[in-house]
Amino acid sequence: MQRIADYDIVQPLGEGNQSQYWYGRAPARLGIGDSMVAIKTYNHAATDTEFDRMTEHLTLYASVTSSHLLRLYDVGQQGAIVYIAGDYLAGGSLARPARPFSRIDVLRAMADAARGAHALHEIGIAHRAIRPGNVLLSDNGAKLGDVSISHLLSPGQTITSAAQMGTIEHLSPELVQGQPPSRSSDLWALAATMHKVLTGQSFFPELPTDSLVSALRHLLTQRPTMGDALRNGERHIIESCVEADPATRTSTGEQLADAIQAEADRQAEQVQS
Amino acid sequence: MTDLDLRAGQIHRGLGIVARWPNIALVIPSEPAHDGVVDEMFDTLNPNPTSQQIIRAINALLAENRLKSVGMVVEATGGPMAVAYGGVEIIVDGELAMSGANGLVKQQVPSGADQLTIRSANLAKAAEPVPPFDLRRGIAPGGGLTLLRLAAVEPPALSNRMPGHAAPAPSAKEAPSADPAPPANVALAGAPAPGPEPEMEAPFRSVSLIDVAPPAEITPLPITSGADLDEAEPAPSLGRGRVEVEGILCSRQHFNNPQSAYCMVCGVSLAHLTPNRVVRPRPTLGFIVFDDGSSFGLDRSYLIGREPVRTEDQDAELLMIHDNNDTLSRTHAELRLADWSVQLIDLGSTNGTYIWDQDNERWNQLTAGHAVELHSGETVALGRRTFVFEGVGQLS
Repeated sequence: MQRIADYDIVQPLGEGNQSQYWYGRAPARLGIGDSMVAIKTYNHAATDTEFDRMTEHLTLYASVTSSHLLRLYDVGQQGAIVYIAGDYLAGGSLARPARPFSRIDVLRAMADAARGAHALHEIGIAHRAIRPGNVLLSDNGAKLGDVSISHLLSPGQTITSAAQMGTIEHLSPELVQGQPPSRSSDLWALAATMHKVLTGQSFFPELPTDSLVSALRHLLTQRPTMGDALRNGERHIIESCVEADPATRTSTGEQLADAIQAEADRQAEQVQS
Repeated sequence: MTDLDLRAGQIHRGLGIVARWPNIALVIPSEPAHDGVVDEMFDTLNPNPTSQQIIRAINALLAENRLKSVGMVVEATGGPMAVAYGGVEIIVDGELAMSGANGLVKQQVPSGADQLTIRSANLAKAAEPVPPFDLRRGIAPGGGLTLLRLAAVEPPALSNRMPGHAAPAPSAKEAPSADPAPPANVALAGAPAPGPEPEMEAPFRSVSLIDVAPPAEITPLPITSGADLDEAEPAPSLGRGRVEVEGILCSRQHFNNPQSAYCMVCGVSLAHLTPNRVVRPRPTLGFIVFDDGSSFGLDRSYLIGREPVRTEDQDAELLMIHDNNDTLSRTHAELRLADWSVQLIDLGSTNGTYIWDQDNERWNQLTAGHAVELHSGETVALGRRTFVFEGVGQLS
């Protein structure tokens, strides 16, 4: 059987940005019984400094007690592989839910994700990688998963590095311009994620994919396009996170969560009446 | 690390996959016969395969005649060894060194070569690598891979620099060319002997994240938007370095450079408009993308350097750029927005500021303190760091 550190790997789960995901059995040393966990690996021979920086960051993340954040168990390094082990959620993600997901389910999951982001912001961490595939689903609500550590493994590489070409459609213009990640950039990504899942469309349906330079040019010069499939309440929530002037946007993840929750409740009432 | 591992890996657009691990780089062009075969190969390899394991997997597929074309460069004793089979070409410093069209070819390539390219023979000859991509490890879609000695993309050798003269371009032609030895038809199966399987239970270190206490001192991220912001905060719309300029409005009220023929936002012609001059905050004039993919919008002027410092009469934003080779000066150059143009000024840097002259294929050095207007698409070198300027609303 294949192993990563002392985890028995059962099967691969897929590929991410510069990383792979595995499904495996937790070792006894963790004290969490014979649990199955998700393991994310990076092909990166981290130096001691990088490893320390990464564990410091993840320890801070793990100290946040929010039911809307993916629980992490263990971070480690084996040769040229860095790994992070955390909860395995069987519900899939908003990119690929394991069961049919109604519009109201999507809104409730997005409210949970916004609360997860808020909990991170309150301890001083920006998530940096919010997208549909990172809103993980379980029977007890959604959790924001997979906090980004790639910036810790490659210092000097910014958020717009080419490796993230596939996810740049979720980047706020401020991030593209090289400003540091913030509450506001995570809220932009939450709005982009909500828009994508509700409408099936990206904020930037005409984003050129032939080169990074032309894609960035598009992101810096174009405004998000609101999809026709949005209901008025949803459109208002999303637009308030992507106003051209960052100072006028929704200010915290908690406010965004409350607004989405209210919209979900309103839609649920309409269904009943 | 070997020479091969220290090289940048530029991916060429095209159909197929490119892959790179320590001591090995390979390209497998897309072919109908390869459907599923390549996936299967990478599935059976462990996530961090050795070059030996990859060679063995390739050999197995070649032996079964399931792989129709493949190209690779492997670090071997005596320097890099290149293999081409099927529709794959290997290009060394711009010269076609090997082709797999007539069967498997295996050949040593000069270790002094600056550029080693493995590419699908079907790629358009003009297909250029995509510079911001630097594949060091792993698998990516692409039709070719150029392994670039980092010095080859860098500005001229600093010792060649003469005051007042443009330094010679770092030309690949000056590097030793490929040894034109006739390709030897050697079966790949006879290539490096299989080494011992790596120990799977290698030592590891780990840090538990269970029941971690929060730190004593917590600094939440600042709240930077919303109505309850302190009114004393300066308005962010016209911050440092933001100025108003005179321009014209297109028929849809987009603000434009009065010299433009077309609206930079919607593309409508500005030629037949009655000039309607207005003064507005200057829009973003474009952006710059550095060699590591980081980008910065030009809605303000920048002082660029290792640790840039502003003098009293400058209102530019400070842009700190990391440089492993210490070729950047503390405050190296200024990108200054002047009305609707972007100017580059060398601030007396030690290693110089250069603009790539495409027509004459050389780097032109700027005279310190002398402003030069940048045009969209131009490449600039500051010491050994480079960036590309993309102007918005300018024709490249």
